[in-house]
Amino acid sequence: MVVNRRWAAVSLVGMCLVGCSALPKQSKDFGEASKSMTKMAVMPPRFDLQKVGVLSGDLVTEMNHDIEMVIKEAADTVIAASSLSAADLDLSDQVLADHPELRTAIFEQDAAVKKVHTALAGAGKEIDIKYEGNADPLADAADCDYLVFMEGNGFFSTTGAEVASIALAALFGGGSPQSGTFLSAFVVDVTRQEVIWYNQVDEKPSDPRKPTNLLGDVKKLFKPLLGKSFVQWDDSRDHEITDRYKERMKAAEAKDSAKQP
Amino acid sequence: MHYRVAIAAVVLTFFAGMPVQAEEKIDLKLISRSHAESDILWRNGFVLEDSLLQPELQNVLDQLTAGKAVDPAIKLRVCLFNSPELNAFAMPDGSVYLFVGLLARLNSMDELAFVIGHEATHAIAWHGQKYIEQAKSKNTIFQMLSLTTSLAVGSSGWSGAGLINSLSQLGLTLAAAASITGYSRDEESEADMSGYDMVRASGRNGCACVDALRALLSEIQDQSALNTFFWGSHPRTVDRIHALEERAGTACVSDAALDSGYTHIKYPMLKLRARMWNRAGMPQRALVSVAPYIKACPNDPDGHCIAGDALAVSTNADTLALAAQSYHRALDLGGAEYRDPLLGLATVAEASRDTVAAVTYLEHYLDGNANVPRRRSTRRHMEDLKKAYHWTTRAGADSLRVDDANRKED
Repeated sequence: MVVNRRWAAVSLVGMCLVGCSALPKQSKDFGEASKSMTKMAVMPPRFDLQKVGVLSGDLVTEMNHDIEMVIKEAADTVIAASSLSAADLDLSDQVLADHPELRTAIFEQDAAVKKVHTALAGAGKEIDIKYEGNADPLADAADCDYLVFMEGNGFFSTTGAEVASIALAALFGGGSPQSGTFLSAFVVDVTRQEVIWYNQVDEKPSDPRKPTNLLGDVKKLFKPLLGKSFVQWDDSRDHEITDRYKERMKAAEAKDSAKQP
Repeated sequence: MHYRVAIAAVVLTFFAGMPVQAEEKIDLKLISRSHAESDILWRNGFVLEDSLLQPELQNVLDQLTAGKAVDPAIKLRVCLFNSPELNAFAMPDGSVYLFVGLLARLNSMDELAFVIGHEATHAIAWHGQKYIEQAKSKNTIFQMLSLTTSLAVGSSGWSGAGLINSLSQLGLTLAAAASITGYSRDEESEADMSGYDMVRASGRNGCACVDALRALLSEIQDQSALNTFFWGSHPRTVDRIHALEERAGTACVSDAALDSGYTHIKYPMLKLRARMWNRAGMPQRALVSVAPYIKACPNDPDGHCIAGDALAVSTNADTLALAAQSYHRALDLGGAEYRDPLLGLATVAEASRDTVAAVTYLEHYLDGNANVPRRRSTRRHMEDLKKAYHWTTRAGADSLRVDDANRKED
């Protein structure tokens, strides 16, 4: 038993040395580039939420946008509370409706962002990755040379899945987390067209439907770049995403039943 | 130990055996998911807005579906999809997406009406809901998506497999499923027949349905396998043509001529499609698309600039010279609206190793307008070029021009 524990401890340290040491990733001239970095603009994040049932999983696409908005708000707050300032890049639905060219600009980042992630997957701690997208319209809209691209995914378990997991854990031991959030972010220096910084966090348990969890994950994500953040959110916000989802579903049902003959 | 396994089996059986009720009425959750996916498509720029074209397309849809019994949860609307591919799909919420590539390929309003009628039928007849109910479990969709995503790895952009990859990465399972596989053969045949009936009921030419399929058939032969996911899963196109001719009660004579009433859609879509192919890194396809456009609209500088963009990726000196010629033609015609030909000329000059000319074009480009696109990165690039050439003064630049000419002679 003692041997097992020692092996577990050694493995943990080893995993940390291998996994953690590769993060965050930075470009060779990050030090030089970061000198002129006074503000950053956070692009609209992308997030996929999955609901884990007893025997299957399902995407809950309806909540994605609300979570994305909270992640952006959290990132803006954390950046604003640091030595940098958060550039105002308003890409709300209203702004996107008024400025279709911004939607086109977002669309045109898609292929470039994918290429960056592919390059990051095979890169070491020091990166040399060109950003091939035309980010100028977005940098112009934010009046800022540094753009932050964030994406992630997460899951939560249904009550049934939680009960089943507890029952199975009681029978066979062990157990798996009931929620999790993965977030990643990279910073693009638009004038150099280079990715200069990347980091990711994988938190379990962390229910992505709760804004306080998302804020905690975002703080952890940016800690190597911005330092420790002391921003706090009241946990009274923690039901806002799920409440909004329930309201929408109820409204849709009410609307449909009112129209049925 | 056995009793533990037995209890586990009971627990799992309890959850697995929970009855799944067959829904007779429309699945509001599916509609809600579909709305959410449509919003994601819009926010991420997959939906193009055209204030002139969209009302016209919507008008065709409204005409075709007038008097049809449509569930109130379904809102039929046409959207223009930002892709040069030949495709169209319908979401369960009634959103019909027509790809730019498809509109560029069709030749008449009647052909277009058939495609819209076909897709509207999928939404009206709840084909999306039936597709999901028929699937043994929703995991089937995820398995299919993971397969297509793995096939799509390595491709990029908004065309073909790259598009599928984008949709699945955005979590758009319904959109990806509808655009990749379409629905079952029976449902596709039902949509064909219903589309035909709608076309006829609105007083249009029924043989246009056959022409639309023939146009697609001719295009599919030129496409790679990955680009035919959608149409490939439909009943064989030749069989569909025969079925439609049977419905029409006549053998339709092939009519591939462009209808004058469709030119206002065809030409802008050809131009847009060519730009999209360029952005997708497929200059050959861009040239094929822009050639008929330039023939029809020789005085539009955009067409020449697009041709220049397609030619400028070459490393061949003759092709680069043709690219420069296209850009100069665009400049002579007043400069392209979507991209300044000076940027293109700078690219050609750089590819031809004429750095001085490249910097000169970039300077002109940046001097012209304080708000030019790519201003930040262009200025940076120009500075890098200058640094590499130790560019300090105009006089120095002139002497470098002489050096450059000498180097070329060497």
